[in-house]
Formats: sequence, C-alpha cells, structure tokens
Amino acid sequence: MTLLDVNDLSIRYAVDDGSAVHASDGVDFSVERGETYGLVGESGCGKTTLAKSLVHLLDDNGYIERGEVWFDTTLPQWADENGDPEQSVIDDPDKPVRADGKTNLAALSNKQIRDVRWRDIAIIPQSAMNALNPVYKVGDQIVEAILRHEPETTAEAADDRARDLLERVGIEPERADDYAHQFSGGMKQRAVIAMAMACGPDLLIADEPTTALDVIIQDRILEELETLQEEFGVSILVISHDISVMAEICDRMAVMYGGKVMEAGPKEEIFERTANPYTLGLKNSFPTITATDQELVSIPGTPPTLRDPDDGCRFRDRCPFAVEECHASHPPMYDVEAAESTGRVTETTDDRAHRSACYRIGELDRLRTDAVNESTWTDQTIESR
Amino acid sequence: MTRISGTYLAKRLVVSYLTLLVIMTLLFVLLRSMPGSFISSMITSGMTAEQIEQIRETWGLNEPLWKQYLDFMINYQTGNFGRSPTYNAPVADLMIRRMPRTLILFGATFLIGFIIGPLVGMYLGWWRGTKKDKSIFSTSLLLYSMPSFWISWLFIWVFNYEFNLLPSAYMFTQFPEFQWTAVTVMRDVLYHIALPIMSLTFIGWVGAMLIMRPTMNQVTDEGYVFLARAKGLSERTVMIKHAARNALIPVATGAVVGLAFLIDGSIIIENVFSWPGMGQIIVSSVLERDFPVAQATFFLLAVLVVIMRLLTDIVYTYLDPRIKFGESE
Amino acid sequence: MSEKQSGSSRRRFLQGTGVAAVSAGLAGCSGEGDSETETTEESTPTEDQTPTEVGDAEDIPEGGIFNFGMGTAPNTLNDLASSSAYVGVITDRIYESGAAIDPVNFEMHPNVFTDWEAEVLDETGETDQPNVEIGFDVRTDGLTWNDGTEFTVDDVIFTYNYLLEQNPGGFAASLAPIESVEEGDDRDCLMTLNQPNGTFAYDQFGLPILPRHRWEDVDDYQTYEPADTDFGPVGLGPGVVTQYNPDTSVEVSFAEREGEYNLSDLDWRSEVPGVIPGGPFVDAMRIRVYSSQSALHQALFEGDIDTLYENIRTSRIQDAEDSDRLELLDGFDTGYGHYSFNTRRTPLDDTAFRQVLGFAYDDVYWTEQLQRGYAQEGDFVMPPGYTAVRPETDSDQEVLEGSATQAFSFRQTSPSVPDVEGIRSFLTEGQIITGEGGTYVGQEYPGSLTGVTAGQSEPKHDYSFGSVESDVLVNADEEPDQEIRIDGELLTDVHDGPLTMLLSPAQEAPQTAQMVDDWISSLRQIGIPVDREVVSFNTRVQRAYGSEDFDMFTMGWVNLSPFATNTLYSLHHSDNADDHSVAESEGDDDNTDTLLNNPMGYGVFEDAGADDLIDEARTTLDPDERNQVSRQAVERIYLDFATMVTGYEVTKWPVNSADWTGFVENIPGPGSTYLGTQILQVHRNE
Ligand SMILES: Nc1ncnc2c1ncn2[C@@H]1O[C@H](COP(=O)(O)OP(=O)(O)O)[C@@H](O)[C@H]1O
Ligand code: SF4
Ligand SMILES: [Mg+2]
Repeated sequence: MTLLDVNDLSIRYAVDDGSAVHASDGVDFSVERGETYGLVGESGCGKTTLAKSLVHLLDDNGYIERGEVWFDTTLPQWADENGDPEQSVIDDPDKPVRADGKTNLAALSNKQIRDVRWRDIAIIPQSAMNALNPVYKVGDQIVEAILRHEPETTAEAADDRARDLLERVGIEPERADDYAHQFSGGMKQRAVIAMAMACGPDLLIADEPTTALDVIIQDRILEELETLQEEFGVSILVISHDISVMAEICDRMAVMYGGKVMEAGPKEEIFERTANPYTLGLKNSFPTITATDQELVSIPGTPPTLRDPDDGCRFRDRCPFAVEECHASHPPMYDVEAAESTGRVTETTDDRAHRSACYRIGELDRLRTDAVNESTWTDQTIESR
Repeated sequence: MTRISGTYLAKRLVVSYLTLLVIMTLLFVLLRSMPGSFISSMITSGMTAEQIEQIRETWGLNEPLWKQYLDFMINYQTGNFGRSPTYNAPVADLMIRRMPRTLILFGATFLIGFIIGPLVGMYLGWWRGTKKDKSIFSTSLLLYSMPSFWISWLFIWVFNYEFNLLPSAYMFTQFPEFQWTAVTVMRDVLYHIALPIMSLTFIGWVGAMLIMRPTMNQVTDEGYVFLARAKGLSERTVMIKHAARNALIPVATGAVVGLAFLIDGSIIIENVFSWPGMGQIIVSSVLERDFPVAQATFFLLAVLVVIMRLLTDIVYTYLDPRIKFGESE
Repeated sequence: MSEKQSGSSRRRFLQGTGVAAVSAGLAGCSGEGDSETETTEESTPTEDQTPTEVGDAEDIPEGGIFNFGMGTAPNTLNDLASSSAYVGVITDRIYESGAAIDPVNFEMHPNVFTDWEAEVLDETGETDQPNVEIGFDVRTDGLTWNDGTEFTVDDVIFTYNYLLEQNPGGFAASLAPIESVEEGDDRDCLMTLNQPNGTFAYDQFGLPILPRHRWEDVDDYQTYEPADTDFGPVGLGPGVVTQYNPDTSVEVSFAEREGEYNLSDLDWRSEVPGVIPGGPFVDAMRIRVYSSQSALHQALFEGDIDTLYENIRTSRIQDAEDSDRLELLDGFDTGYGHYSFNTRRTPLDDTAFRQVLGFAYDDVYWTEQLQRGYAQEGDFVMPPGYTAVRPETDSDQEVLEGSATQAFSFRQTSPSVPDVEGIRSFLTEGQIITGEGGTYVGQEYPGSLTGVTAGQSEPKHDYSFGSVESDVLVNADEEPDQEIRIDGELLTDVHDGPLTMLLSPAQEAPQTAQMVDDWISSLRQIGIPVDREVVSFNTRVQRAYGSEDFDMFTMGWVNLSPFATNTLYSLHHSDNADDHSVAESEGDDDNTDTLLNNPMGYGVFEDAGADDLIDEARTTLDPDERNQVSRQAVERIYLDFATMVTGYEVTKWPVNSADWTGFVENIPGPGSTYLGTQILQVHRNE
C-alpha cells in the first residue's frame, strides 16, 4: 500500500537578486509501506530540499511552488475513532484529504504540519551528530519528543521508553542521563535514530546517514536502519550522494540531478539495466558497484547552480551523449522496459516503473558500452553554454 | 543536577581569596602612591608638630612599610576598616549603612537588565534581519550611546517635574507624615527606586541584548534547532528551550562585564538621584582624601566583582554541561 | 574664582559641585562661577547700601518649617572633630560661644559671656610677649542646655580645659595662645593668654561651649559621635536635632528645645540694623542633602527647599529672577580669588617684575565678560565688605573705585590690548610702584592710602628686551617681537625654563581657564615666556601649599575673618611659610608636606613682607588702632604684590520670599558665613 505519493513537486528558494533556485522541479515518486526508498545524486541536486519540504522544514526562503505530497495519515482533529478521516473532512473541498485516506501535506498549515512531524514522519538530519542539544540530557530530548506527540503519557513511561529505544540501537540505557558531548560520533547518530523511532513514525527520512562516519560505523548504522525497518515495519527514505549506500539498503530508488529525477525504479533494475547517462556516470565514480577492475571516473564538471535554469536537459552540460534535442527542453520520463524490449520510446506516468529521463533512451546499449570507457567522459569538450 | 563538586568549589574559593589579597595589595600601593600624603587631609595649618606627629602615630605611618602593609592586610581580613577622618566614624559602620542601599539598587537593576536584555536579544536574534529587528536594534543602539545622566534628567523631568508621579531623590520619604511599617517601607522604597532603576535599565539592558542577539542568531543555524523543529515542537519552545537556552551561555560571561558598567553607572545615578549608597562616596572619598573610606569602598566593590565572578562561573557550569566542574574537558 | 579655600579661624571646609567636591587640608573649594545666563542688569551691591530694616519682634508670626538644602552631607555632629561647613549648618544651631559677631558692623557682642575685660600683665611667660589676663562673666540666668539641664560657670571652665587637653586640630590656632582658664575672683572666670591678642573675643570666645555632663567622659574627642546618643548633641543653642539621617536629611527643631534660651533677645541685637531679636520664629529647620548641584538647584525651583547653602549657581540666576517665588539676596564675598607667586624664584623674587604681572591682567575681561558682572575687580586681600580693614577707610577714596586701588590695573592701549611698549619701558627704566605717587605705564597713581611703602625701593634686576629665543615664545601664537632679558640673560636660563602657571582642568573651571589664557597671552606679547600646566585642585593644593613646588597658581579664599589679623597672620606672615632657601639644601623635613597657608614665601625675605605690621596688629588690643595697623599691612601686601587679588564674588543667595521673610541682605556670606543670623530671624510672611 502506498504510504507516500509525491506528485509534480517543485520547490524553490527565493534569493536576494530576485531569481529563484529551482531546487526541485516536477518530482514524482512514491513510497510503499515497509519499503526503503533511496534518493541519490551528487551534492546540491536537491535531495535534502525534497526531504525537508515533505514536512515544511525548508529554510525561511524556501517554498513549495507547486505539487502535492499525499501521505497516508490523518490529522488527529480530522480522524474518526479508527484513525481514518471522517467523511465530512473528505467531502470538504478546503481540507486536503482524499477518499483513500491520504492527506496532502503540502497544503497543511504550519500548525497542522507540526502534528505530522515526528509522529508520522521523523527526519534524521544530514549532520545528526550535531543535532543533539548540548545542554540537555540525551534521554530527556527523546522524552521531549514523546511527550510532544503523546501528551497523555506519563513522564516515567516516556523515560522508560526512551531508555528502551536507546537500548535497541545498542546504547546502554544509563547513558540516557549523559549529555551529547559524552557520546562518540556513532553513538550520537544512533541516539538520533532512536529518537526518530520514539513516536513510531510511518516514514523515517535519513539524510546522508553515513556521511562523515568511518566505514565500520557506516555499515553498523545501515544495519541499524535495516533492523529497525524489520522491527517496526517503518518505511525509510534514505538520502545519499553515495550510490553504494543505495545498493546496500534500498528497495527502490530515484537518481536526482539538478532538481529533477533522472532515473527511478526498483534498485536492481537501476543497477543492472541502467538507463540514464547520469546514473551511468555516477556508477563509474563509486567502487563496489561495477566491475572491480574498472577505474573510478568521476563526472567532469560540477552540478548547476539551479538559479532560474534554462529549458534544456539539466545534465546536458556534462553529458557526453548530448545531442541537439537535449538543448530544447528537459526530457520527460520514458519507460525503460518498453524501450528495451520493444525499442519504442514511450513516456510513462507510472511512479513504480523503471523510468528514465533521456532522449537517447532508444540507444541504451550504445550508451552503456560507451559509458564504461573512461575517455567518453574525460575527452568530451564541455560545451560552453 | 549539581555538577559543582566540593573540591572545585573549594578551589575556586581559594582562587577568589587570593585574588582579593592581590587587590588589597594593589589598593595599599595605589592609595599610598597618590599625590599628597596619606594624612594630608587631617593636617591643618594651625597644628603643632606634636599634633602632626600624633596623627602619624595614630595612622601607623611611623611604622616601617612592611609593618603597615601587614597591619593593613590583617585588619582588612578581620573586618577592621579603620576610622574615617571625614565621617568621624568607623568605616565599617559607613559601609554597613551604605552597602545595602547600593546592593538593592544594583541587584534590582542587574536583574531587570539581565531579564529584559536577553529576552529582547532572543527575539531580535531569532528574527534577525526583519524590519522589527532592524528598527528595535537601531533604537537600542541609539539608547546605548546616550549618557546615563542625560537619560536620568529626562526621566526626572518627565516623571517628576512635569507629571509629579515619582520622586527624584533619596531612597525613603525624608520627613514622612505616615508611620513606618513593613508595608509602608516596602511601598516607599519601591516608589523611590522606580526612577533610578528606570534610568539605569533604560540603557542597561542593551549590553546583555548585544551579547544575546548575535549568539541567538548563530544558534538558529544549529542542528539541534532543526531537530527540535522536526520533532514538531512549537516555534516558541524551539526558540526558548532550545535556541535561547544555548545562546544564554555567553551572556553569563557578559554579566561580570555588565556589573562593571553598572558600578560605573551607579556612581552617576546615585549622585543624580541623591541615592545614599556607595557610588556617592566612591569619588568624593578620593577627592576628599578620605583614604580609609576610599580604600574600603574599592575593596568592597572588588569583593562584589569577585563574588559575581564566582557566581557566574557556577551559573556558567550549570548552563553549559560541557564545562565540567568549571574546567573544559 | 572657581575654587576656594576657607580661611576662617572657625575653619569650615567648603565643598562644591557634586562629585567634584573637594576639601583638602586647610582647604575647600567650591566649583561654581560658571555661568550660562545672559548678563542681567542686576546691580552689584555697594557698601553704602544698608542692610534691610525689619519690624518689631512682637508682631512676627511664629511657626512653620523652613526647608534648607545643601549639596554635601554633614558627616558627623561632632563639632570638634569636623571642620565641614555643612556640619556647621547643624551644629551652629546647637552650640553657642562666649561672644557673638554681628554681620553688619562686625562688632563683637556679649553672648554666653555677659561682659569681659582684658589686662596686659608684666610677666611674659615662655614667649617674649606680655601675658594677658581676661576676666569674664557667664550668663547662667535664662539660659539652660538644650536638654533642659542647668548651665553653670563650671561648664565653661570645663570646656576650655577640655579643649586645651584634647587640642582638636580645627581649633588649634585659637587654643594655642591660651595659658589657662580658671575660676576668677571678681569675675566668673579668668583666662590667661601668653600674648596680647586684639581679637580674643572672636578667636578664644568663639570656641563652642560644651556641656560637662556630656563630654566629661569622652576620653578621645575624635571617637565621640553625639548623634549616637539618645538626645543628640547638647549645647546652649536654640535648636535640638530631632532627625539625623546624615546621608540624606536632618531636622533641627526649635520648638522642641528643652529649657530656656535667651541669647536672641540680648539688647545689642535690636541696635544692629537689619537684625531682628527674639528668634527663632520657625518651629524647625529641615535640611535636605542632595548629591548633585543640579538636583539641589532643581529642588529649589521645584519648591522642595526654601533656600540653599551659600550661593546660587550663576547659570540659574536668570531663572531665579524670573521666578515669582524666589528672591535673590545680595551679599559680599568673604574672601578673594588670587594668582599667587613664588617669591623664592627669580625673577618672581622682584617686586617690580611681579607688579608687571598685574599690569597684564585684564580685570574687565574677568568681571564683565567671563563673570557677566557677578564679580568685582580685585585689589586688596580683604574683601570690600570688610570695610574696617580696607585701606580706603579713613580716606576720601571710594571702596574698590579709588585710584589708589588701581595701581596694578590692566594697562591697555585699547580695550583688551595690553600696552606692551609701556609695560616694557616700566621694566627697562627700572620703575617700581613703591607707594609713592606718580605716573606708571601711563596711569596716575596718587600714592598709598595708609602711607606705607613696598618692601623694595628699586627693582632687584636689570631688565632689557632682545630678540625672541626661548621655545615658548618662538612657538607662541602671539608672535612677540622681543623677549625679556634679566640681568642680560634669558628668563628661561635664569629660571630654568619658562614661568609655569598651575590651574584646574577647563571642565572644572572653564572661566578661570579662559582668564589664565588671556593673561598668559598678554604676558607673552610683552615678551615674558610663560606656560600653563593643568592640575587638579588637590594636586595644586599639594604643590603650592604642601611642597611649594610652583611658580604661579590660581585659587581662592572664603570665610576670612573680618578682623583681618588672623587672616593676615596665617596667609601672609612668614611664620606660615616654609623657608626653602634655608632648608632645601639640608634636606631636612621641616619644609615637607605640612600645608602652610603662605606658599608665596611672603615675609621670608627681607625686601617683601609685612610681618612687623601683622605682629603689631595682632597684639594691639584697641580695635581702632588695630584696624589701622591692619589696613597698613593690607596695603603693604598689595604693593609687594606676592599675591595678586583677581576678584571678589558677588554673592546671590536665593530664598523663597513668597513664604518667608526676615532675611538680612547686603552682608558678607549671607547664606553661609552668617547663615545663623538668617535662621534666627526668618519667619513666615503674613
Ligand atoms: N536556503 C537556500 N537558499 C538558496 N538556495 C539553497 C538553499 N538551500 C539549498 N539551496 C540550493 O538548492 C540546491 C539543492 O540543495 P540541497 O537540497 O541541499 O541538495 P543536496 O541535499 O542534494 O545536496 C543547491 O543548489 C543549493 O545550493
Ligand atoms: S537527454 Fe541528452 S543531455 Fe540529457 S542525459 Fe540524455 S543524452 Fe544527456
Ligand atoms: Mg543534502
């Protein structure tokens, strides 16, 4: 069953000079219950923005330009005794609630979204290590979250639960009385994960959960997430610039570039039948993914600034396969399955299908072969725009 | 709760004590190196040599310097501040009489300033860059640049001369037509302290605000503020409990500096409002060469600052758990 | 005059504005005199105005509370231990002395002592002066202590012996001549002095009379605080202290005094013009202490107080004149402002040179421009109010105006421009004003009023003018065309650098600073290298009176005795000067930091001094004779010019005349020195 259904979501940041950063542009994806969904892409391509926007945690200058974020939850005040939305709410055109029980988070007010935060969607921020308040005990910070969303819980019960949660992520319960500075980096990360599970959310967003940790800890954290998922059945939206992380824990994933989803679909599909020049380039730049004997090649150039971008394919400046067509407009999502099996180029609106945004979807074999060649990437003359 | 260990406290007390010894030594040296003899204010032209000799004797000036120093240090530590030649009274009596008045004024002003200042600083830091922030901030800078006696006169003019709402002098009604009871004393002091406090805090809070505002602004970018929001906490809770609480830490350090400014301001304010405290005599005793009083006044102010340092250190340790027993790890 | 010292035998320190208040050693200062107001057409008081006449005591309304304000706290009620004028505001209502002075004629009258008689003995005692025996009677009828206790002759004898034994510093000068005080045979008491003293009624009879029953057990007068006792201070005066918060307020009640008080009814009072017998008429005097001059003045204008101590600030004179409630009472200075010169140093050791310093001082600039008319031109070391000892008395010349008082007035070619050539010629031609008539720098001098002459009959040095060489003058804005030579040498060589004038920082005394600048500028134009050095009042006291380490300095005196002799002795007699010429070489400490009142060293050297005249005046018993000798001494001091009197203040004492009346006007120090008279006679308006 679909937990999260993001439709045509565009996020912008207003900047001083009057232009806008198109940090996310017409993004579609959906996450099933119990699924681990990955967002991958180089730094600066809009992953964090996308995640934060789900619960209105954008910086002050960020705003949702358009799009919907349908999430399977009902605000307490709109719910009947089963937790489903009341019919009157569904019928009310002013309330963003659908008959299937989903609520459009993008349309909620600041006050309303606060009830969704942590209770439905918990977010482990990018630098979780600095996310603990230095002046409060770690346990108390977990208790605070519990009491916020479950005011009927007693302080002792909340405290017990906090210690229990810490224990589950491998931290001795007594350490609940410690302060953040008394924890190691990995412990802090796990404490935040424990905190994220405090209210039993349906979706856990982990933004760069492994960045800045050493390899051993990285693995442990990923295991931790997997265990939690099994235990709580929570869906996880994991964000990383490291495509190998995706390989490890995702069920499905989306590859983002320049605020756009370039390729999306089940993890195996994307890794085994990669259908987008950007994904191909990304794969080249990480070890474990492809054949061991291959040289690591990173994509030359840097991601665009996204300030009032022009119409062409976002990737074309760095794309070795760019053709005339790529300059005119950004490509739509094509069905990879169809392209591969029938050679037909068809657009798709199915969020779940393996899809890719590239005009040269019809020449997949060629793209895959050339992409393995280092020279394909390094020899190209970066077009001046 | 308590992170202050007995040993740490003992250690700090010893350091404070040593600081006071150093200050006393400095005072001893300083006041004896002022132009004119220590006793010149007591000598008048008609005096005979014997009388002058007797005064020298009384003040121990015929003793060798080390003995004078030793006597001074011992006397001061036993609360024997000597006798004031201009007040014709034991200096200790004078201090006991005046110190509480200054402490009341100091304490109230300090408290109010350090409540208002951080509060305003919190709001401005939180809303930094907004129109509200800009206008309040620039207004407060304007206030800050005004001389405090000027503000005092303004308040006196408005609240006393023009509208006759509040008295402009003294701590009590001088020739009361009512009976002194606990209630009337309280009411009378409040009535009299209003203008001095207003004058002092009108500017006084800005200092604390100036520390609070930028630190508050810094902490809004901290991960824990984001996390607090992500937890669904209200903006108020995030601002006060998570952001402000952290931004307060440097404000505690600023409190000692604030105290120094307050001493400075109280000299002016006590004189403007005829508030019979320490500020009144701090300058006059030097000018009148009442050295025993000057010495004791400076000494007590030093004690006050040292105590404040100790207190802020303790508060600091309480505010910031990363500081353990007053030492960084 | 921006800063002053007090020179009374009953010495009172005066404090001035707020935190700048100072008193040091013998001295106090008051920092008023800076005026922001427009010049008013207020006439300055002249001596022929008689004090105000008031009606009879019978129909004077009684009662009411007179509110008094002052800018400095009374620190103690121990009259012996304090010399503060502000303590005196209270204790003078409590304590009485043997004789009383009237503020109009400056005559001594009976007070606690009913009458007295002095006899010069043949014996000399330890001094080479004949001893004097004074017999006096004590008023014990109709007068009790203010706590109701009976007052006896025994109390008087106790007082003098107690004071002699304790010898409080403030009274030392008055006590020093007393050999003994004991019970007399035909008189109640007998006082023996070791030398004749013409002003014993002022000096020795001016000491406060103490109640034996309170002071007998006080072993050390310094540690006794009458305020701490149940009743407060006990004295023969009209008042009792009924509230004492020394930091803020004091109440002296007249209504609540116990026993009897008759000193205000004495016959002589009804004979002095302006003095009203029978007081005090008010129930109480309430004293409020303000810690800033601004607050004090504002309290006056707000009606919180009816008057204030001493004087109104020049800057508020206009406001007071505009007020319906307030009236400004005129008064005279009780002292003078001065520039004094160190006669130990060349060329200040020469009277002729010093006189030139007077020619360069623009009196009109000071009195009219800087002081806006609230000052009078200075000449003698006795203020114009003390007519009896002014040299003009017994002459046909008017006080302050006569040409004999103008010997050293500003010599100008046009207003404010010094007569450089004339002054130079005075020096180069070897002129000096000795007291003989003549024309000096273009101005007629009729000769001395009293017939005295200066100590020198001709200049000590040979003066000439040559090219400008000293740094001070080379760099001076005045760009003098010539520089003085003393016996052929540069002043900066004979004196080791330019002459230096010590003065207060401009923010403390802006007008004095301006005046000094003007004076220095004139001197530089003449070709005399002079510089200025800014030092605080205290430092100046120390440098001038303490160590005599100065060339020239400015300061002022108040509360001088109207009988002159004491003042002349302590301010201008060589007994009160350190003789550095003798001692410095030996490095002994006779000359160290004792503050003596004659820093000029006047009288130390043979050719400038009035010791003989002063000594004579002091020991002359007959008042007329004494005053005559005093006048000679005053004029000698004038001619010798070791101290230049720069001006006298015109006192403006503000009172709430809407509610109160009965004040005496046109007396010296109406709100300070003679405050007691005012309090005794102030009463409600009908
Ligand atoms: N507050 C902001 N104002 C303007 N631009 C921003 C802001 N935050 C992020 N951006 C821009 O938006 C784009 C996406 O950023 P981000 O979502 O952090 O990417 P990622 O998480 O993939 O690294 C980047 O170009 C970044 O510079
Ligand atoms: S559309 Fe063109 S530019 Fe974009 S990825 Fe495909 S080939 Fe490259
Ligand atoms: Mg990111």
